Amino acid sequence: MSQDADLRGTPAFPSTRWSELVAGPGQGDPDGAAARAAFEALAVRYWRPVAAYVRARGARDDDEARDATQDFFVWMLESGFLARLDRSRGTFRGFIKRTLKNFLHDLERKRRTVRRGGTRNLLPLSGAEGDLDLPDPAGRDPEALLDDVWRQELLARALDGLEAELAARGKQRTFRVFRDYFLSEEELDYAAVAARHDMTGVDVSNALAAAKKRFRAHLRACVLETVGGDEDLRAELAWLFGGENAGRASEAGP
Amino acid sequence: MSREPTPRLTPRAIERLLAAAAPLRERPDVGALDLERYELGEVLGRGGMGIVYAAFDRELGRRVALKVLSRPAGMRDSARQRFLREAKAAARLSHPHIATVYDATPEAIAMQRVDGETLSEAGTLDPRRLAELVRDAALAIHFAHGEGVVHRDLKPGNLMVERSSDRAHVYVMDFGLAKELAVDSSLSISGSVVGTPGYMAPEQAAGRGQEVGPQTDVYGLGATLYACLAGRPPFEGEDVYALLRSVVEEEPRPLAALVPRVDPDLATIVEKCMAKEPAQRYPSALALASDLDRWLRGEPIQARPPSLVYRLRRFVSRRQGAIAVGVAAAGVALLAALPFVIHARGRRAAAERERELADSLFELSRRVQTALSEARETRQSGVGHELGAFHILEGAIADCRAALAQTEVGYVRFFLGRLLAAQGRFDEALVALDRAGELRPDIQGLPRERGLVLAALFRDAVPVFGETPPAELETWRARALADLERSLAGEPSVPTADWIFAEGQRAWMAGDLEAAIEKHREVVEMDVAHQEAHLSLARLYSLADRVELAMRHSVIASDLMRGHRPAYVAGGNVRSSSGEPLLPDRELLPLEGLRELLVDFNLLLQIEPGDANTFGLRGQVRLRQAVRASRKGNRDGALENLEMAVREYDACLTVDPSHAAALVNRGVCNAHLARLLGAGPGPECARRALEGARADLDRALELDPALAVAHFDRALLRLRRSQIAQLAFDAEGARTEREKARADARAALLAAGEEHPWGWRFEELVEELE
Repeated sequence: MSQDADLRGTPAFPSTRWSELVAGPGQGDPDGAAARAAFEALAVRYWRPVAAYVRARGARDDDEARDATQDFFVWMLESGFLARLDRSRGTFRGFIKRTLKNFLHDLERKRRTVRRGGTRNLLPLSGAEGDLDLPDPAGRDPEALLDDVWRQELLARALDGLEAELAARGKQRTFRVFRDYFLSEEELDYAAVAARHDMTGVDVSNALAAAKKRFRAHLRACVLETVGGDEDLRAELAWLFGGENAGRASEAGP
Repeated sequence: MSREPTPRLTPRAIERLLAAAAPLRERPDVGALDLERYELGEVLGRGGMGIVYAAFDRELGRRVALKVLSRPAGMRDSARQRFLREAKAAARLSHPHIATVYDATPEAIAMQRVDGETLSEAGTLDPRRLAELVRDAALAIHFAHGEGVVHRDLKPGNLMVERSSDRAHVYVMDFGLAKELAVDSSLSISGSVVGTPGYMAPEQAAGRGQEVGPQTDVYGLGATLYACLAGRPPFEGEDVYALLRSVVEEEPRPLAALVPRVDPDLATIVEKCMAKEPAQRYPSALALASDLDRWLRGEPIQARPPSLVYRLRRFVSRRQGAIAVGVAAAGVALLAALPFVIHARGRRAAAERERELADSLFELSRRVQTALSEARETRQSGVGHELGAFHILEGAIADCRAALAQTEVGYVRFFLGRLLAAQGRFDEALVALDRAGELRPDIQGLPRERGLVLAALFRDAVPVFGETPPAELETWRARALADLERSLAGEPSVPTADWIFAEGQRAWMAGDLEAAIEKHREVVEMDVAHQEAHLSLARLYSLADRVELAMRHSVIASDLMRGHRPAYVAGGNVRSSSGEPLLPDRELLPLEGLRELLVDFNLLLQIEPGDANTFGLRGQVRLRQAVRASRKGNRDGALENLEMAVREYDACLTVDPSHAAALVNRGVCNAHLARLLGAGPGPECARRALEGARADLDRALELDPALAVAHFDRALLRLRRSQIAQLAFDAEGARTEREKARADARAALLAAGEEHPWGWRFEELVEELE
């Protein structure tokens, strides 16, 4: 019997988990420095959905949305809000929505009083770089837009994880098969994918089955990062697959 | 990373990816290790932590036992984390006689599946066969000790025997896993027994965690041998406390008495394993394995039956230990103790009485210890349990008082003092501890306990709303310092969080705030749930003018100590010294937060009826709810809440007429009421409300001219009056009121200083009025 304790290919369980963050400053982290770092990591990952929301709430352009999003995360980090996270249980997404609404409300009021040109405390959040490429907010409900972009980010991250894992295992071709089958504009069938990669249809079928399995594991890990517990996980998965109504229900909370 | 960035996903791609991942939706709970890697089979067992399935690992083609963990109510995240750490440590162990833990995640643990039966199921075994199995297990345990892992829960149920061929093969199960389970399930809040503490080593049963080590496992192996030879566990009891007490205090019935034909050498080996003092046991599991091997080969064993002198000494020290409960009682000198034994024999009746007293004292001390730790756990377990903790402690307090009504015993006074301190009733605690000190100056823990109570009195007596500090303040400080100096004279071998906490308190009492902060930070690093340390940090940081940190610790403390008065007082302290009236986040606190706070305050009033601050805090919540309702256009809701708020402030001011914050807030309520009721030349009640508002704010500012918020609120009020005057074509009156409003707004800005959270609002108002 093999004593091999290594679970090859299992995605590393992420260290930045919402549930750990809401547990507050932990051992060896009295100032919450680690919690802060964890929060920053989560913030970077969910930058786009927040920016999309801000944009839909009336930011003039992507740059203004970028600024307000930046302000929002900086404020979260600097206001001591992190230390009190445990008061607001639930998912990271739900939390962001609730806080964001209040924040923007406050921000508008402050903007009316604070003189222009004041100093702004910029934080190097890498999510702020590059083209945001936000969806057109015209006629969209900001919350629904946030959910859509959030869903996109989750899937894109799971996809990134899958690619990294398969590359690390020397199975780049499996990833390419997965990508061509699921993501190509032309919507190739097995035969077309097989022809493209010089494989048999059975090979394609096997590669896809293996990759799908791993994709699910990565997706689950991504969602897990943003929830506080088992029940939240279920609710968040229901939202992820079920569209907006399920999402609403999961936010109702106790 | 060289990979190309993933392109933005099209709606069609999203749809397809979601379809590919759809099975996740149906089975989110099993997917922890790897969603489809394990094929689940029959349920092998259920426990407090989850369900164990027989499973097949498709990827590596082997059979495993998969423990899918649920999150039991009451198990805190920290316990879960610890559990996981242990499991991961255990996963490193690879030994032919250890059931391998393959992997552990927060959701599931995959481990080697062993087909067979545990020693507890195996029935009576031939002593030679049994000795072989335990020898093999001891070798495995010794290997684990070398890797730095201690099992801590060895018992027949954790040794699994696989009879594949002619030879039985033993596996040690649940390495490093069982301990947290036992902690969480066997001593649950209800007190019901789930685990099997009958196999616990004395150092575990007595809660001497720092003594738990390799020799704890030696004890466990010995207890396992005992149970398999005797056919019953070494200790049994009616309830968990009686059982734990037996483990600590009593010798198991000699094996020879239960199994007349047992080999005396084997019985000696068992007895040596199960010595109460770890130092009296085999020095290692290897030594035990070697002795078992000698016995199996028919050679002389190395263990010796305990000498008469040793037995006698243990008897004496046990008696003394029973009297000096809660105080380390090891190492009583034989010569000093002997006359006591003889003396006691001569006066049997007196000794009998003393024994009874010692017994009931022991019971009581167990109850007290249990109450203290349960109350702490219960408080931490969240909303709804706060009254539970309160009642647990009150119950134990009542027991102590009942005992004291019969006889005045120093130790009982001491227990009472500790319980009262845990309840936050420090003044009463001090009285009890002082009395205990008069009766029994030699109680070991007394100086520290009293020093901490005095320090807490000092801490909480620092004025909240500018009242004069009590005259005893300096006495408390000096006495606390003396007591703490005395109790911290020695050096502990391993400094515990409580020890460092006492050091921090000493530094504070000695006036060294920086050192005190340093020590307390060390404490919360070691024990993040150390409530008193958070409270003290809240106060220390606010003294050091680090408001942000002070707020944080006060919030943590009040979260940890729901229903614990000093937590709220400290919170009020910090918040009022930061210039912010009582509640953080006037704007951001969500509605659930308000409701939760209201629950807190209602509980607080049950614990301490007639506490002015609590009424004030409750009024505060009502006021916030009113503001919220008003913003939503719910006029009736706003009116109703405002009226309730005014009543709360009335109650607060009846108890404490000079409560400045309450005056300000009642003023604000009245101002809102006036506005809602149609201020200006409107109904009479609106005018009265306005008058009331002004009177309240005037009085508040008389009491404390530096109350920025009161200035601000009065400025708003005056602005309103100015507007009313304008409407009444009283240009002169309007101008005067506006002048006054401006003066107040400026005063608010001035009093607020740089860091005030509302500074920008004051600024806004001044600008508007300039």
